[in-house]
Amino acid sequence: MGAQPILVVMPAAEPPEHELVALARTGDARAYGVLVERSYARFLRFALRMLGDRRDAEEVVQDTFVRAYRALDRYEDRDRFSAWAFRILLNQCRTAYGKQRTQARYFVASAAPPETPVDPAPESVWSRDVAQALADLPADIREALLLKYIEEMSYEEIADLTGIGVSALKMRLKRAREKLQIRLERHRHG
Amino acid sequence: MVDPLWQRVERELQRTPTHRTGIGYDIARIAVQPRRRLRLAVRAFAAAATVAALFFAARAARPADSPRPVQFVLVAERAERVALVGDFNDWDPRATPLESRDGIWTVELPLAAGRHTYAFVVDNETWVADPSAPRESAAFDAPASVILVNGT
Repeated sequence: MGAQPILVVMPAAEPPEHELVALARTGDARAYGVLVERSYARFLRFALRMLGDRRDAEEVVQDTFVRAYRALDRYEDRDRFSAWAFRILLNQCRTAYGKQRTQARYFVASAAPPETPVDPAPESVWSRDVAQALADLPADIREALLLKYIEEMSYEEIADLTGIGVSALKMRLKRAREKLQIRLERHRHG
Repeated sequence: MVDPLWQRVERELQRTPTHRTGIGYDIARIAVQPRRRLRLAVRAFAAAATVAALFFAARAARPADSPRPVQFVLVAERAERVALVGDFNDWDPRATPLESRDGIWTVELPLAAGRHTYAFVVDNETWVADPSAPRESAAFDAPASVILVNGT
C-alpha cells in the first residue's frame, strides 16, 4: 500500500480572471459573483478588523464590490482584480471610519450590541482583548498594521497605499507592535 | 526569533470570519443592476435579505448548480481520528469525521459548485493539507488545499 493519497475529484475548470472580468463587463452576474466570492472573506476580514463592527464591515464590503463593478471600465488587467478592488475597500473603510467617529460623539462608544458579536467567533477574552487593543490604536496606525500583518504586504506596498514613507512606517509599526504586546502581556502564558 | 505572543496576535488577526455561502453572488446581482442610489440598494437588500435569498436560491437551483458528491481520502496509518475541515463546514473538526479502513481514511460529502478550501485535522491537533491537491496560500496560518467542483 503506497503512501500516496488519492483524491477523487470532479474535474473542474475555473475561468481565468480576465475572462471573468470580460463576462462581468457584459452584465454577467454569475461571472462577477465568482470574482466577488473569491475575495469576499478576505475583504470582510480586513474591514472587520479595521472597523470593529460586523454590520459596518459587511456594508462596506458590499459597497466596495458594487463600486468596483461600476468602475470595471477603468480596470486594466495589470493588477489582479482583488488587488485593484482592495484599494476601493481601503477607501471605503476610511470613509466608514470617519462616519463612525462622527457618530461616536452622539452614541455610547462603539461596543457591539449583544446580538451581533464582533467576529470571528467564538468570543473569548483573548479575542476581545485583541479587538479592543486594535480599536485603541489610531486609525492610520491600525490600517498600516493590518496591511502588514493580515494582508502581509511589503513596506513599499503599504507606503504606496498609505502615503507614509517606508522608514516612518517601520518605526510606527514597531511602536504599535510594542504597545499591543504590552496591552496583551497578561495573555503571554495562557 | 519572533515573540510567541506576537505570533499569537498575528494568528488571531488572520482568522477568517464566517459568512453566508453565496453572498458574493447576491452582491453581484445587486451590482449588475442598472444604476440606482447606492444607499437605497444596500438598505433594500438588507431589508429583503431573507426573501431575496430564498427567491434567488430557487431560481438558481438548476441541476448544474446542485451540489456534487466529492470523496476525500487521506492515508494516515497511525492516526486515531481524522476530520475534514473547510469553508463548507465552517472549519469545524467535529462536523465531518472520516472513516478508516486499514489506515485509509475516507468521507464523501456533497459540495456546491465552485472553489473550496479544506484541510484534514489528524488526532485533533495536526493540520494537514491534502498532499495531492493544490495549495491555498495562507488560510489562517495553517496549511490548506483547494478543490474546484465543476459547476457547468
